[in-house]
Amino acid sequence: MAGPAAVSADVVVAPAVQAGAAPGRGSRGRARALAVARRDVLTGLVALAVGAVVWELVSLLVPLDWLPRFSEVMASTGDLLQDPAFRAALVESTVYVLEGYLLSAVIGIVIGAAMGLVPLVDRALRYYLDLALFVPPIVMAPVFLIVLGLSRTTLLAIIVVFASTVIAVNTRTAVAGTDEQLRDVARSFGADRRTVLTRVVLPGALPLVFVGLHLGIARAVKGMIIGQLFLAVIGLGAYSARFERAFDAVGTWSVAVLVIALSLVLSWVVKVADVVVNDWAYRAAGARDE
Amino acid sequence: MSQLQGGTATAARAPEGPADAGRVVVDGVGKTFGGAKARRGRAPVAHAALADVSLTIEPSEFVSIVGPSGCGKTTLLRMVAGLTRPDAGRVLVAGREVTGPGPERSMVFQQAGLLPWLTVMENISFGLRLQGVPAARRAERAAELVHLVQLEGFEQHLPGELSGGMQQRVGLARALAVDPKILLMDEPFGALDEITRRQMQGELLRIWAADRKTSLFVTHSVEEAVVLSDRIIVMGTKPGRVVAEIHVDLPRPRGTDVEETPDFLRLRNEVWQWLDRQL
Repeated sequence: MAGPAAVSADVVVAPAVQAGAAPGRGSRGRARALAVARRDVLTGLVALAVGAVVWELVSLLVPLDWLPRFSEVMASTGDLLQDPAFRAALVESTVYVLEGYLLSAVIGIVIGAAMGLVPLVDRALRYYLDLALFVPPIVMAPVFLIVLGLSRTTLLAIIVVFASTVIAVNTRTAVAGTDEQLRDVARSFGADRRTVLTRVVLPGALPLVFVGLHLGIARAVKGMIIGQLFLAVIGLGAYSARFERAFDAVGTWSVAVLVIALSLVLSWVVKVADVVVNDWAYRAAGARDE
Repeated sequence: MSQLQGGTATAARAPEGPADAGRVVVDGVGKTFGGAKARRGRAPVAHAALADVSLTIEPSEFVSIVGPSGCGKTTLLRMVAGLTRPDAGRVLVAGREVTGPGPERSMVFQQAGLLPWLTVMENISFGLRLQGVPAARRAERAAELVHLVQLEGFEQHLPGELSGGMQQRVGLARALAVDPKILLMDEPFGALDEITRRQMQGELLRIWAADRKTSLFVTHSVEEAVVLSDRIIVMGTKPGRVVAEIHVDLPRPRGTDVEETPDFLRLRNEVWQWLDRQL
């Protein structure tokens, strides 16, 4: 905190805070959300641009069969996006990710909250959660295929198992780690268990839940790609598998670039939601930094 | 001035009538932690936090509890708050046995215990909200309390943006917002630096003097107990029990200069003598 100034002996605040009457909470939250989103998006874009330049230079200086020029990949990506069949595959894959992710969020938060609140549920599910966390989806994919057949349910199951675990783990940790004193505060004012849950436990758990949601979106995209590669008949995975079989490096990289772009956009959306919902945590962190 | 009564500071008696609304009677309470289950081959280890503790706090009285760590000060306070149930004995507030928290009691916590996602105004009105007070009345009452604890201009700030002293002011305002008959304070200034702590003591005296709520104050600081209290309960350990009761006859209102007076030094030394015997 650079140069805090004393208002009175016990009123020592960060200069930004000290400025006096604060603007409304909502406007602060929105402003910070925009600032964070802007910063993250700009940082990401600059990093990607640097990576693209390095890629282009390396591919020019060191010709490798498996590493086409970046400009060539971008041109191919543009061509692919002109193809209605490819666009349909892209939309189909995105819908799978979103459906699987939303299901994962609901399942992960419900299971994680139950584990965090009820020790018996925690003991009963802990090892299954660990197993689901560590076993790669490619191992589970054949099992789902046998059980559910070649269907969209199989792909959704792969995404959900992959993404919901990390959301459940974070939710469980957040709920179980609720400050006992804050529960006491609510109880001292006559709050019952339900009120303690809704007014104290869940709002306090949200920042860590969003960490899980952020990791979850990345795992949902991975689950979708792995599932589609395994099934190899639908979406981006089918295109990737087709290019791979044809040793088409440019095509394979084009699909990879689009998957990266999809991941980044979804990640930014979750980040903005996080900053809007948990603006208090970002404001507090900002005050500490100052 | 002081007395040692083998765990009984003041005889517990059940009060009656509305005039006793702020009276607290602790009647032979005991509390043992642990020891419910024996671990493989080992005898259960039980810790008697409190044993046969009795005391009465009169309406409008300011009583502090001092004692070494582990003497059960906080456990006793939590029993009065209704957050911990005694294993033996009972706590009476206004003649009714305490079975849980109630609107006539309100607690100020050690680390302020503010909800970090709520603003100063929202934190102050948190208890009112849980008690179903309408939003307009909550806002009005919170504004009064903001003024009382001198936090104007910080209404929309979050706890993370406040200093430790300001956070404790909010904690105090939140407890006062529900207009309790009895104010329970668990080392509220324990985490503050010395300068802030002295300032907060002055603030508390000023606020308390306004309507003299029955107050039970747990502290590790002997000086703080003498400055604030009408009476000091000294507790001992193993098991936690009352070992002395010291009446503080310093005139009110008290300022920081009270610490320079011979009476203050005499009382402080007396408390320390009792505490030294517990070490």
